[in-house]
Amino acid sequence: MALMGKREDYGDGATETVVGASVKIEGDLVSEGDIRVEGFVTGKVKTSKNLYVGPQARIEADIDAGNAVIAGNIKGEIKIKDNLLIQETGKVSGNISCARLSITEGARFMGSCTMAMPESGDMEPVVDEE
Amino acid sequence: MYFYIFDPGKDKEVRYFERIQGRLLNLLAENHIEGETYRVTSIRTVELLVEQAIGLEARTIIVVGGDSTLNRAINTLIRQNADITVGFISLDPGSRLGQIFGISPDIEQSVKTLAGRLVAGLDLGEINEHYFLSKVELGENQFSQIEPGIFGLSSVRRFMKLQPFEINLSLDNKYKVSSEVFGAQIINCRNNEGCKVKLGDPTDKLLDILLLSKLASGQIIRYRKELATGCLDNVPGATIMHAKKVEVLGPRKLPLSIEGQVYTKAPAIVSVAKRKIKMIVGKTRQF
Repeated sequence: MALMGKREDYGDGATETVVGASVKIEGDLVSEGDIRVEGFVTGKVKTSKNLYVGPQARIEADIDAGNAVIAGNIKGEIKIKDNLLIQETGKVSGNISCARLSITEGARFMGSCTMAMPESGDMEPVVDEE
Repeated sequence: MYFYIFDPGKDKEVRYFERIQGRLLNLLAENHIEGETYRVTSIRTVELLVEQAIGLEARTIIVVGGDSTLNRAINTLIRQNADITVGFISLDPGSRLGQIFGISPDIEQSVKTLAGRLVAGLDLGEINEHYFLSKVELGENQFSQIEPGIFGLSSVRRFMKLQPFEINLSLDNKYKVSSEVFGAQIINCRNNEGCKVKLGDPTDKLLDILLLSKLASGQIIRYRKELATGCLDNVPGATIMHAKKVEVLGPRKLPLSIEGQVYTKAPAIVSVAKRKIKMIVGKTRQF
């Protein structure tokens, strides 16, 4: 599955949750559809589908999503079932767990990353990076 | 048994109704859905007629009138706990509910829709024991009450006068939302024509919360059509959320309105009602 790069690449917007830039959310933001965050979220963010974090967004929360594209600022534990892309404006501080990872040049990441290895299927820590 | 409630409320509806009344009754007979017909008067209100229909054990109540008549009939049915199917023939060609439910403004088509008897169980929103089909608008800025005018220019002046306001919500007791907004709506169903995002599915057991962030003057002019048609999600920076229950925490005394009428003030709870309403809908419905 190709990693998502654009807003149009995922979801049909039918049940999408969108957090606008001026909005502040405190608590458990749980959705069955895609979630797009442009504002400020503290607590928890959970979806089985796709998560997009905009360049001006700030999340201080644990994240649990199917796929994620991060272009904003995140502090928290990130668990992604499939693909995780950190774009050039993305800043992640926290531990990551995902199946596939892509970090664009210019992005910043501080934490550990755990990825499933295809042969054995065991989870192994890969590397601590900044 | 079909029970017809005729309520041409506004002057233009009365004139239209007088013109089409004979033809309407003929069409009902041709399609074998004729029944008892009653016209709303100052004494014989919509609520009394619905109660009369319940007493007569009517199987279907057909409202011939405007959106507000339909809302009143549904409220009475729900309060009386009546299991009756509702149909609608709109006398207002601009009827929002008619467009949402696929009821044509042409009476021949709308009678055929009724005869087709495609019944859907629809969610209702509930606020202070009042039930609504469409949406609740929060605050003084009620976009649904502003007419677009020619090229949307007359509405621009009204939009420019609107002031942003703070809002605090709690959704499903799971998370709190706070923001400074230009407009806020809690939607059960809406006319999605021209809107990018399909919101307001009255069968999904959810309410859609739509917040419009503060806009600069240039943005108001640029997005005047979207503001006037209610497609606030087309405006950049809009927030869309979904919940079964929305607690409007503040600011205190923030008005909550349905179709321009204030029903309560914050703090208040808006939720999906436990009961659904069975309604005859058309093939061109928006859900």
